[in-house]
Amino acid sequence: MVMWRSIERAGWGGVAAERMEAARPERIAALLATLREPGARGLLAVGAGCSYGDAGLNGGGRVLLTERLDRILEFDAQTGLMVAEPGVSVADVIAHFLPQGWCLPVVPGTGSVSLGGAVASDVHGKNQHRVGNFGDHVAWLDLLDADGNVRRLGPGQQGALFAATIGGMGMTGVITRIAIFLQRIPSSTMMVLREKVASLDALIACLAERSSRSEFSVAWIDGQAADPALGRGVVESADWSDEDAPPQPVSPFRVPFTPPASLVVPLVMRRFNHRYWHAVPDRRAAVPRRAQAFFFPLDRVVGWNRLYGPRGFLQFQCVVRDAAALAPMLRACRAISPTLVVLKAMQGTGRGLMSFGITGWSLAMDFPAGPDTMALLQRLHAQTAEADGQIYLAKDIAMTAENLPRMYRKLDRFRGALRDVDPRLSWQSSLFRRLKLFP
Amino acid sequence: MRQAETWVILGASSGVGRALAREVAARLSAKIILAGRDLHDLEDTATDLRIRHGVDAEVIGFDAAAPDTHAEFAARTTRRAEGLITVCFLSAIMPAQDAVEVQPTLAAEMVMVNLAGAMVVLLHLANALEKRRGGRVVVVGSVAGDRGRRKNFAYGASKAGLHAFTEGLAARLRPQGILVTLIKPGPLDTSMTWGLPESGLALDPRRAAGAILRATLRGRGTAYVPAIWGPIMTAIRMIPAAIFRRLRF
Repeated sequence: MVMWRSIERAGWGGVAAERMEAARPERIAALLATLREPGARGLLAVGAGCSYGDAGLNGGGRVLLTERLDRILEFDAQTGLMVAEPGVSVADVIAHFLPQGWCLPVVPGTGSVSLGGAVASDVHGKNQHRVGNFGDHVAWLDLLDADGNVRRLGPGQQGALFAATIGGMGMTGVITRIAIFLQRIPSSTMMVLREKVASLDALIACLAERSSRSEFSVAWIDGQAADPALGRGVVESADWSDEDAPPQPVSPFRVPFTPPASLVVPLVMRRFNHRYWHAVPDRRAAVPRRAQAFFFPLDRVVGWNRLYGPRGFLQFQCVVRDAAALAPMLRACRAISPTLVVLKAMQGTGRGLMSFGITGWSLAMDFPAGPDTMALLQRLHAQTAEADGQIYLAKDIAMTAENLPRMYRKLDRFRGALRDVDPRLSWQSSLFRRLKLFP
Repeated sequence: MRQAETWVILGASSGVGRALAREVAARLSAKIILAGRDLHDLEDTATDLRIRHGVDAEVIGFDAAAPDTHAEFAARTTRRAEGLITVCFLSAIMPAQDAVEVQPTLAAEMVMVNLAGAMVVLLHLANALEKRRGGRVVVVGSVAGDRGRRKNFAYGASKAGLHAFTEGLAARLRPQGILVTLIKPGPLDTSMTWGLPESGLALDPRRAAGAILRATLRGRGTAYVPAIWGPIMTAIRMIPAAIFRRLRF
């Protein structure tokens, strides 16, 4: 008998809260039992709940929280191959393996992400232009299908289902084991270089140049700056250091509760962005930083997403081929200025049929939720579609089903794979229904 | 060089059992024997402990509800153990009180695991520890065993029996220098309480495991986990029976 608990959950952005029934299996045997009770709106495996929108929700349905399936099951110190359960977090892997000279090849912007979620969203990091997405490093996966069979999938093993599972948003089943190659690293320290750039064109040129030379690169844009300073920002690039710098202890700050109103208001953000821009020194010299501090700048404030108050926030993330599409998008945000803007050079598409990524530029913007924010997102989505770009499903809450085929060109193949593996629609999510992923 | 020691965790595939194994592996360089029914699951935990903490971990099958197998289990466990042995009994089941009232045989199944199984295996292991003239015993009871509450008295009864047994076992083993620690946790955030309405009281099993380990290493006779349950249960124990039997909680 499976214990279901009624829970109310929102995405990481704190918007679109829905009620659903949750099981939290602690053992694979308990996970198997849940398959016999799928409920009317199907099941969805959920990792750490770091998807910003509704990808990790199944409103009115049932979810399987995988957080207690958190064991590391194999590590080969010759090849770097690690096998782990889906609930192991990225931060957990890094904390354990970094001191031994190994790192996950792809590290997303928060360490809370689970390995299962990293596969299901085919996440990327600041080195995407060099090493691709998370799924590109997966050796094999064990996938539990709706009939209770565990299938081992890999590039040469049920390849179609493997490609549908990577970036497949949980729609093919529950990932029960992940085998991924860790990367050898020379130290736990990064040499980080920051450069202040005064305009969007200069920022794009600088980011392109840095991306060609460095393993990690990303740009922060001052979302409050308008023409002629539109797109001014800071380009950050980094490479692994050959030697460890002395440790710099950091203590996390915890946001204990959701404040009654957003603390991330325009006035505060204007000051913050202004200060941040001026705080970056003009001299161009790389400084050592701990890898975790570089990977997870926001994780120092545990629960930072609560700072937006009860209304929460929305994130927009697109990738477009041509940098010329970026300026109109930034200008479209004049009425509601984004609180955080990040630009990244991307290279290549992921392995998954629904992977996010094309060669071009990925723009991510956070907006406090408000009456006009959805309309703004729709406008940005139209601009993205116009530019033959993609919207990142793991961040999304606002996309319409009509835009999906244009952005995801392998959608038909994905639907075909779902028809084969899950004809009874046993796996569903709120995102699945919103975007009409039905085969 | 540290003296060799072995921690035997009975009920190791429970949420708190796994957490305790991890806590022991992280804090002590002890050998760990994981005992329980789900051998696949226990093998996975043993691998995880070896990779993360470099400890020696192994699995021995144990079914609390099959007392005729406990003599062999105790013999095998003591053969495999090295140095000072710490036995931790955590096996428990908790069918809902209303389910027990509809189907009373569930009460017998529960007592079989929570109390009869505990007594048989701990008596066997106590004999072995006496022969070795040393060791520790940790028994996980429950705040539910301190009074017979309307909402959970069947489970409470099994734990009350376990408390009395543990108290006597402590008296028996004390002359040999074997310390017995009785842990009385409040609700823990594991699969046992997942089906109950969310209370916000349930303690993270990692924190519970840390508290259990500390109480054991300090040689505490009884420890509430978290400690706040100590004064709460003292107050609840003082409620006169005439009043208590009118309470619905």
